[in-house]
Amino acid sequence: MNLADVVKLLTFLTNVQPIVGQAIIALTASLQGKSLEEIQADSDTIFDAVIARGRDELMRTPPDDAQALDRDADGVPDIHDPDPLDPKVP
Amino acid sequence: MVRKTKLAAATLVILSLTLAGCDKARKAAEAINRYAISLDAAQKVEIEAHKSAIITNDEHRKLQQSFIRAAQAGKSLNHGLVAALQGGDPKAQLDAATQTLDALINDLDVIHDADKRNELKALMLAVKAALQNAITLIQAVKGGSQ
Repeated sequence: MNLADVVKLLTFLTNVQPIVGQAIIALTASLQGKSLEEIQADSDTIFDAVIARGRDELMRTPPDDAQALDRDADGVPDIHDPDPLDPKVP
Repeated sequence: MVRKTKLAAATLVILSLTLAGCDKARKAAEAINRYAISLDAAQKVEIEAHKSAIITNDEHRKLQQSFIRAAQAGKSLNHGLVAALQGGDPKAQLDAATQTLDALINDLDVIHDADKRNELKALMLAVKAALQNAITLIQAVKGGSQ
């Protein structure tokens, strides 16, 4: 195959393959409803939701020993003490 | 005429290889999606058990940390799939996903309630099967691209 043949082959593939390829990909996408990229994006969204939910649970859940910890011995567990760094606390 | 036939044959071969690769990649992406859905469902079961006070705060915190790590490694499976499609090696991503899920399954031992521990372990076997299916399909994409 000489250079002219290679150019012809590339031209042929450039003109024909994308049309056929796109048609079949479109057909597959319509059957499945989503493209490969959309499926991947959907998975990422679900994984992100797991990560966000986990972080939220960690934020809202104190360790078990924090329930009874009373470092300033004021009779009130630390987790119920007003936050001294909170400007709204006098 | 012979030249046109050769061109058509070459096109068919290239098209077949491309479509076979696309099909494998789609199946792998769908398997990753199923793994994400199963991990998400398992996390919700654990959270409900904590809300019902069957799982303590410490147990819950440890398990949620493991869920986060498993989901972070799960996200990298998509990167592994892209690497496989490009002829690269997705081993690092596949290993990370396996290791973090195994760690999560091992961490279920912290649950003091035997019934809930066994229930979640059974559920995680399904999650593990979903991951193994995704890994097998990603490896098939890698094999097909070589």
